[in-house]
Amino acid sequence: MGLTRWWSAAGGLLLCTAAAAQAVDYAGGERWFPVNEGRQLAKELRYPNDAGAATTLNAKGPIDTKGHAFFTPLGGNGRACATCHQPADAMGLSVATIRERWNATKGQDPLFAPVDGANCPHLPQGQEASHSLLLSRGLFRIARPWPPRGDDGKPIKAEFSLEVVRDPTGCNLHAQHGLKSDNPTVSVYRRPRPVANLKYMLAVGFPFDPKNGLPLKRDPLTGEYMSGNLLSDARALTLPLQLQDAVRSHLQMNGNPTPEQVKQILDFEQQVFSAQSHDKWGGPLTDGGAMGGPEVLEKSRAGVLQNAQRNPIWKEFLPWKTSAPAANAEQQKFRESVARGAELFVKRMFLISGSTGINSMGFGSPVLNSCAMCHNMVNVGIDVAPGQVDLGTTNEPWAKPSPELPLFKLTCNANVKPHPFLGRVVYTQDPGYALTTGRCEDIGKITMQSMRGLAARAPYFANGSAKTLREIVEIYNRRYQIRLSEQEIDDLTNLMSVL
Amino acid sequence: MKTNTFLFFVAALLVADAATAQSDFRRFVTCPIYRDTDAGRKSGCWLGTQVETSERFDVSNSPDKPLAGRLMLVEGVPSNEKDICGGVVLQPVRISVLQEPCPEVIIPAEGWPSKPSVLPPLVIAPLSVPRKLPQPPFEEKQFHLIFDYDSDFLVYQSVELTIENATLLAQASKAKRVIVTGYADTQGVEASGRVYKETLALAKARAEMTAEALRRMGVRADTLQVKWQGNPAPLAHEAPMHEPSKRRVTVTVRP
Repeated sequence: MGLTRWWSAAGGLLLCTAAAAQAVDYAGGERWFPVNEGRQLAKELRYPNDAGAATTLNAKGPIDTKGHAFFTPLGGNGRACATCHQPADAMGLSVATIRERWNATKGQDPLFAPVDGANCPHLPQGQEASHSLLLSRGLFRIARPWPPRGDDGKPIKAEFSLEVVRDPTGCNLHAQHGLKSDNPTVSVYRRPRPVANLKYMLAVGFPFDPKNGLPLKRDPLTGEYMSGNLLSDARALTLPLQLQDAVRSHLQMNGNPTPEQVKQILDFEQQVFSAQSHDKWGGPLTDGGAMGGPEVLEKSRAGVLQNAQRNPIWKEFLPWKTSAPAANAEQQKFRESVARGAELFVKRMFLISGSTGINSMGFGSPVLNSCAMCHNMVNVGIDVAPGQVDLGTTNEPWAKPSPELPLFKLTCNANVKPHPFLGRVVYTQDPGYALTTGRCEDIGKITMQSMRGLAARAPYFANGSAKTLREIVEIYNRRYQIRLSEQEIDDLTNLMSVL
Repeated sequence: MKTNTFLFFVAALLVADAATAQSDFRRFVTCPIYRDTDAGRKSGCWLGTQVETSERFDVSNSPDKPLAGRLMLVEGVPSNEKDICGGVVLQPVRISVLQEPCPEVIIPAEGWPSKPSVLPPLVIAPLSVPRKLPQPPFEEKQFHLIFDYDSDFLVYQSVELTIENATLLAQASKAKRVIVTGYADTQGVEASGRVYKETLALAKARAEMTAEALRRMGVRADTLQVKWQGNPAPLAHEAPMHEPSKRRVTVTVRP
């Protein structure tokens, strides 16, 4: 069934839901939320996607975006925060939206700014080839200083040397933008992380980070522990620091936003909740005893560690296992599949091996556990710990062959231990967390992503290497030789489609 | 006089007991075997054969678990714990992951019962649980953190509660000085025909890692004093794991 046909058929159902009174439904409407236009941001914004619809809950009520710092270009390239954090895409940015925007503006939208919306700033602008990573995988260029810099801005002595093996974008060897430039820079390419449900990203469950073997760092301003789950490489650990990083790099702002602008952005970011709210087969995700959608995220406590017996993750959908029959057999079948997926997520054990951040911290390799071992924070499925792990999305030999991405050769220095599973020489498409810490063991570790609103923001993984939710399951199935049955793959995929 | 005789007798018994335990202490290098379990969680069975005696031991109680495909140094004492993995249970036991590769061995459960998932005794509570501060009177106290051979890594569910307890005492007593002393076994130990010696640099690294942990937990930086030394005396109360106790950091909180 095509999306348009389904949406038209399901429209009546959606408008009958209790929350519909305050929601603005964008069925069939324009997906792009404009910046610098002054459109009102409703309390609830609901947009269709291939799996159903996602809702962004602007919890404190409608906002006039005219002059609102989140929706106003603050720098020189015409971009606002909202450019890459769209309500239709659960406050992230899908490659479908990027492609639509390219077509609508012939590549002139500030989204495609050379600084990071092109494969490299030196390439001729306005040509698809120059923006191919953004258009095909939704990847923005992230320029990281080399050598890495510590919290105080001073260079860190990295435990490894770094060489460029493959440079398809031309950026890492470029005289002005590359490693040999006056401002030595490593260019890696990553998806934007959604600006929603941030209280969960910032939540701290325990004071000790077992992956680093140290307590969490503290915010020098507040003295509070910092979660480490905010960015792909944990280069900024608080929202104010992330804001500073973003406005200077992605928005190309010279100087600083005013204190009022900073407050407006931070306040907004912390009161936005996004999740899938309707499914094309299952119906409203709050029906039949289920508790999907963004409202539950606003109300629930963040930082809670799941427990397989007492408080399993995704228990929101377990009522679909036993609740009264749904409207029709097809709906019932889908709901039962989601409930099975929720159970599998917690209970389906498999051997996890060779993954730094999981196996190298004392648990051993292999370790017998389920998806919920790492995706353990109730409501969002990030890691309480925090979640810098190497699942093989960027490190050879597990990474998906990606000749369009750079490849680096990292050699661990003789005076440090080699990488726990990959030896002294590691080939990687993105050194990830190691570009923040300079540690050999951190090569290719990437911070875990929130699992909410997934259906609205394909593709997946930090480097966009999984095009669909099903592909995520299949990648894990291969990586850890789980031997999932077709039905188990369907169930886990269906679960992820309703988050 | 009668009392003195009795004390002497008890002391002699303790020494004899320690000597017996010490004689049972095993140290060997071997390739770990992971035995899968039917319904275990986190903690499948970890086995290792002491090739010199052909005895197979269960080392699953170690705070740090082995990596399949890498040699491990095993130190422990055979116990009477029920064998549910296919090997005599070592308890206490500590394994250290070595750099040398070996065949990666993962075998099925083969009918052995599951290794139940049991939380270790020293697990830090979530931040949502209020901490109880130590109450006066305050006295100088030492906290010991044992490390794996050739490692400065603070292993999860093994030492973090000790670090927190030292921090809470330092905070409650407004400690004037928190002395962090790192030790490394520079004299070394013999295992399976090889000598395993640590460097003095490792003692320093252990001390600095622990000091950083204490700082992050909330110990005032200006009270911290970091020291290190080689060839330390073992900790008497760690018997029979005397020699592993040389690989430690001792935190002295001085109110």
